[in-house]
Amino acid sequence: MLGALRRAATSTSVALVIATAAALAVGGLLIVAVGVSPVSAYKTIWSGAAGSTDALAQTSLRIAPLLVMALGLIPALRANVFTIGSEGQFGIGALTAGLAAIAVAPHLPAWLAIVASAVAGVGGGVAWALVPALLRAFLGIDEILTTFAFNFIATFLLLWLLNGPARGKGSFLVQTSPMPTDTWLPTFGGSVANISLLILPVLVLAMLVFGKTPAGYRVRLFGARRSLGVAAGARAWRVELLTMLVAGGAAGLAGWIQVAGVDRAVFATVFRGYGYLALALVALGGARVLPTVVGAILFAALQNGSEAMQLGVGVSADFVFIMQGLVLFLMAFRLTRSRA
Amino acid sequence: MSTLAAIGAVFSVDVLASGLRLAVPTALAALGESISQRAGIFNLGLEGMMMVGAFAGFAATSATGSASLGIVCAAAAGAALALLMVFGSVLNGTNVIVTGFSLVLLGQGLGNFLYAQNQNRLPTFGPLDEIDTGGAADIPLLGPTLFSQNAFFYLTIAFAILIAALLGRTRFGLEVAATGSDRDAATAKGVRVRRIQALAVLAAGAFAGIGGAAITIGSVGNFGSNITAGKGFVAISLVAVARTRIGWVLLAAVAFGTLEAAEARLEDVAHVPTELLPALPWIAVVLALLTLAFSRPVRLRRAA
Repeated sequence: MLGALRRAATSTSVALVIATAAALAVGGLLIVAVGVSPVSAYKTIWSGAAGSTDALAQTSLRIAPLLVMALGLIPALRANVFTIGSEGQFGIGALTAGLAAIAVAPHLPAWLAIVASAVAGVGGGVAWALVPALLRAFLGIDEILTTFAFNFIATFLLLWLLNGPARGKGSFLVQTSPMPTDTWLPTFGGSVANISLLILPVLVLAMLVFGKTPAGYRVRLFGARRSLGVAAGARAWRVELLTMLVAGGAAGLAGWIQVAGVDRAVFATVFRGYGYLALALVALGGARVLPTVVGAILFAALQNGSEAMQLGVGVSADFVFIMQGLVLFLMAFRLTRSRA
Repeated sequence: MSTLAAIGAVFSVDVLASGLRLAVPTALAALGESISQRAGIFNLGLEGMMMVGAFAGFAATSATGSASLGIVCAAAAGAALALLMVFGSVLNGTNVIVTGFSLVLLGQGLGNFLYAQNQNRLPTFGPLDEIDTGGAADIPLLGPTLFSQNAFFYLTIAFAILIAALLGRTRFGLEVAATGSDRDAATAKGVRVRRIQALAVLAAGAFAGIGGAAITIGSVGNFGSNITAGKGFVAISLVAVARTRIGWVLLAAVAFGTLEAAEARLEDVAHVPTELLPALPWIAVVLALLTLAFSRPVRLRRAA
């Protein structure tokens, strides 16, 4: 009993909640400094994130893409492969998912069009991860820098395509045509929450199972010390290539969830920083599944809430990046200790 | 148009001159990163440090009218963020990548947030004037490129010489190199490893801060959301490619700046769509990183 309590008190998830509280305390000082009452600011964050059924549904729309992307990053981070390319892969996945939906909807039954759109999203994400992954796996080129460069290349590619070849006919905006209603993700009852939430438990379970498989074990060994992983039978290039492609596929899937569930067309503004946030929340949980889930919920709520705060009391929503940076900074200390 | 004429049209004197100007922010940040990487700390937070420097420099100059004060504040702000890196990775052994990444988010958040909250109180100002070099500005080729630049350009050259001398010719420089290449051996020889790394990271932050200010004070006279636009990551890439050698770092920064400056001309010559042009420097970064595959392996990240 006592042991269980102590384990709970020292668990990463609890530490994460404490770190978030600490960051919010520091953030409170910042809010005071800009002349707003932190009490009213945090009240609007809370009501914007979780204050009503509608707010919760809105938050769920952010949880789904963030968590899908984050779960996909877990194997990479366990293998000590620090890919920061999710942001670009998310955008490209959103694009391919959106275009596929528009292309196939007239020819396929609705459910099949939705599946095709999802598959196209995954494909787009994997394709965008491929070059940095190959460079890492076969030439040993640092993945941090290449994936970051690819994020920028993706934003310009998207801008060009949405301005030209992929632009909706007669559209005055930089976007594709709207996706056919058949390819939108069905929602629950009268709320905006959609069925992408049903994918989450499946992916969580898949990641938990992966951790118990020999392959999952080898990936972790490989991340802890390359030579150990190799001795256990992992092939370096395969681990690096596959973990990066899985992360890319998950980011592409998240892009699909975004366009099919929320945007319903591909906009140049599809990039929202979710890719960086997903990476942050996997890193802060030490690439473990449960803290990643808790982190995704916390970050999504914070993000949704801080937009309400910007509208409500005029404190910029950029506040949320400060909070997330602080939380990650604080959690880095815990990771060091737990490893020692 | 012949190929030669096309190349001439793209890389004209104008383009070279603005290439040198555009190289300055990246070069300053890269100089700082060179010090910290030599000391064995891969400072991923550079982008965040540039952002806080860009904001602090802009705010101070906007409020007081003094660019010099702005530069000092920018250096201080960058170093302040770097202090968190010192506290985390140098003194407490946190993972450099995770802590560095947290500082990217934190620095971007702080810069954007503080600007959003104070935008109305901070008037914009013109970009910094070019330094008057008298007759030198009229020398063909050299005049418009080397002798028609603002203070940040000459500051960069001065810092580069200083840093090259410091790293190459002083006891401190040797201790930095010793720390970076073998911590334990350096410790055994009496080098105070943590102090060396702390100083190196703080220097990286200060130079990144000044690099950010080179954008806001030097060339824009304003601030904008995410104004450093990934230049911190470019700087890290250049340092990796140049393997922390100062001369090569500068050369790489100039090449990168020139490519940025040539974007507009490439549109006329090569018919690349306008939207895709800004992607070229990033493609160049990836290609430059490729060269690392064909040289001696460097373990940047696990050196710490």
